[in-house]
Amino acid sequence: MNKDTIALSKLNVLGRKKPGEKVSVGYYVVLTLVAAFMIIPLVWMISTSLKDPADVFVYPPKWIPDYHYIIEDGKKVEISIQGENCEIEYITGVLKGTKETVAKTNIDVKWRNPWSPWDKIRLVNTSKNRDFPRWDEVKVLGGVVTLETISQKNGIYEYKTKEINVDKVYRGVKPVWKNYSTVIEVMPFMRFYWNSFIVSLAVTLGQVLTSAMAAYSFSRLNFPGRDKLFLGYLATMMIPYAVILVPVYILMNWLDWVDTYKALIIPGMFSAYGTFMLRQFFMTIPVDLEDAAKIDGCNFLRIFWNIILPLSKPALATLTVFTLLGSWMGFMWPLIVTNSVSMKTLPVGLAYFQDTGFGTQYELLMAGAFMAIIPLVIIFMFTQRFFVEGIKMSGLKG
Amino acid sequence: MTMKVKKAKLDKKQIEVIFAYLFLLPNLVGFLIFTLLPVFTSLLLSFVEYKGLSLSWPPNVNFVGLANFIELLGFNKEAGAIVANDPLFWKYLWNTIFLMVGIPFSMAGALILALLLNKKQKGIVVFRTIFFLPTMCQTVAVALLWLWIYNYDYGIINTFIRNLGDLFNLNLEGVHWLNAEWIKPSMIIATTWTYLGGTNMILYLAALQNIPKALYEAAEIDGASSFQKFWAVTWPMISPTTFFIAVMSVIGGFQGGFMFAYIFAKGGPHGASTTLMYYIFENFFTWHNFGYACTIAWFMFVLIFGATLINWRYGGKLVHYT
Repeated sequence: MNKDTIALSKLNVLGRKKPGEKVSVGYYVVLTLVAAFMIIPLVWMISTSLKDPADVFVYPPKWIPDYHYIIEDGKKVEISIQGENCEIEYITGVLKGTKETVAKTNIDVKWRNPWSPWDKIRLVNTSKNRDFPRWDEVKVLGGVVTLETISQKNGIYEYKTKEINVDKVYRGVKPVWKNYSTVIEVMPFMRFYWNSFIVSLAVTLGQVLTSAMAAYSFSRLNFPGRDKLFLGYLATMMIPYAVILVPVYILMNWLDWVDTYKALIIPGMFSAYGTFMLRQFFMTIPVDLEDAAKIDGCNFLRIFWNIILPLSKPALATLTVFTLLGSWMGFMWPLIVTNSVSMKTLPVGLAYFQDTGFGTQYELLMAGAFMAIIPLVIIFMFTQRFFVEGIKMSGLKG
Repeated sequence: MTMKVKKAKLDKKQIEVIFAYLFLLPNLVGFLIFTLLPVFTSLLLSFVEYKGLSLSWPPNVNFVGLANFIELLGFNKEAGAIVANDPLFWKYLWNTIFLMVGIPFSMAGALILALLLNKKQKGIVVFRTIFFLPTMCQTVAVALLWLWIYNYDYGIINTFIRNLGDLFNLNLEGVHWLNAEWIKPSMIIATTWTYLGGTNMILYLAALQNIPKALYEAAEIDGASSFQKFWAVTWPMISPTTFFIAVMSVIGGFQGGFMFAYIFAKGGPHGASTTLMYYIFENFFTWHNFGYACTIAWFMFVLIFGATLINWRYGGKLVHYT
């Protein structure tokens, strides 16, 4: 490469290097950091959902659900450190940065689970002397765990104690899948799923069908008052949902629909936005196609079904996906119109789960939350394209 | 002959009208019953006092004229000082506006993510999926997750803060994320995380991809740095999108905050997380104060209508269109 070509390539006249496509390692580092920021909370959710209840409230938090075991006669025997059948006699350790040996009885262990000698232990210097750092770390040297076991043989209970050195206790990975079955036992979770499924499906089918039919009417057929009516549709799109909330609820109550599928489904089946969106899309379909069909003697129903709908697949898919998502996530309306537990949809069920005494059982809450997000995430993986296209479409109209 | 043709044509037109109405009917009936009728009912309700559990027909209502609006927006003199008739409303309006502080940050974040993704590199789709993931998660589940993340003693944010403190030998205790002082910033952070890689990022991405490459090439020939290229080319070219997102975020912001407030603290502590939407919900669902709930909702409509008007009036002027 001679000097001139180098100069030319720098000017990007040769087109070898496209602008904005040079990437460095730093670029991927930044991407990965952002991705980590997005994903760490979700990992935390999964991690918590697989923990033993006793491991949820420990400091520092454990990311991997684990258990402790000793090896007896070549077999792994699980022991409980936090249960009633075990006690730690003493721990000795060396203060970080010193040679001072401390024993557990002399120290005030804060934040840490005091029965967890395997982590470094953080100490609080309780003296008011500010010259000393208040936090200090201890490297654990060793200690003795007293295990108490009660076994039953021929109706005779045998009580044993056994002392094990801390060094002989090991840690293994053990996800607690039981949390998920517990959630299903204590809450009618499958019923919530079913309700959400039925409601989302019915709302989506209804909305897409009624919107498409009305949109066809607005975009292709001539009838008196068409444009004024469409303007009426447009005008209501600006009105916030909160405005009609109360009257629709009063209507539901008057019809005696409260706490039924009817209240969850029927008001959601009609959408001015869906009609507007599909009408805009139908307008872009060339009329020539229909004229040809008309000459062939097709009626409007057949034109709608065999020409317009197949040509509008992207718009229909977008509306379907958005409606499905919106109704699956809908919170306020199902919260208002459902009273009995068996009628609750997934989001309301989750909120109810939190309110009914499980609000601090985070391993169960997180298991429920994770179960609630799985279907959406799976749907999203397969329909990502429609989301992206749909969002772009909605942005262009503005 | 000519007569016959004319008659047939007329019939065809009539058939078209009949078809048109038949196609429109399901949607129109739904629209009239579940949108138009409620809109007018709501307007009427905002002028009446309609309280109590009884929803029997005919409803037990008192026409009170503008009393609801005076209660909502009016002031009176109490012991020489001017006091709002409904101080709670102003507090909750302030909460709603405070939560909008997050909008510029989340917009900047969405733009940065879009800029990162706007490169034809391997694995970009994977990153886009990851960024989009939180938007796709069941929102109540996300709120529960953040409730746990914000836990004072065992949540991961406070753990991180304490670890950071240890690193620099500081004694950091962490933040009470869900107390009256911090709950609004907490809601902003959780909301931003949820929607950062969602709709706004995709809109920015679409806008970035629509910028003609020639503009960048011209800028490069002029010797522009990456930073200059951003300010001189990218920023003006995406300004319509920025404006659109800003208006949409403000409209969403006026109606927002309900779900996180409900899951985090039921609008508390002491109303610190109650937004306009939550106040409407409370009036309606908790206190069965139906008329007043509609009044607040119509006030919210005025705010949103204002934002929409600004969009119409200045949308085309403040921004650069090519």
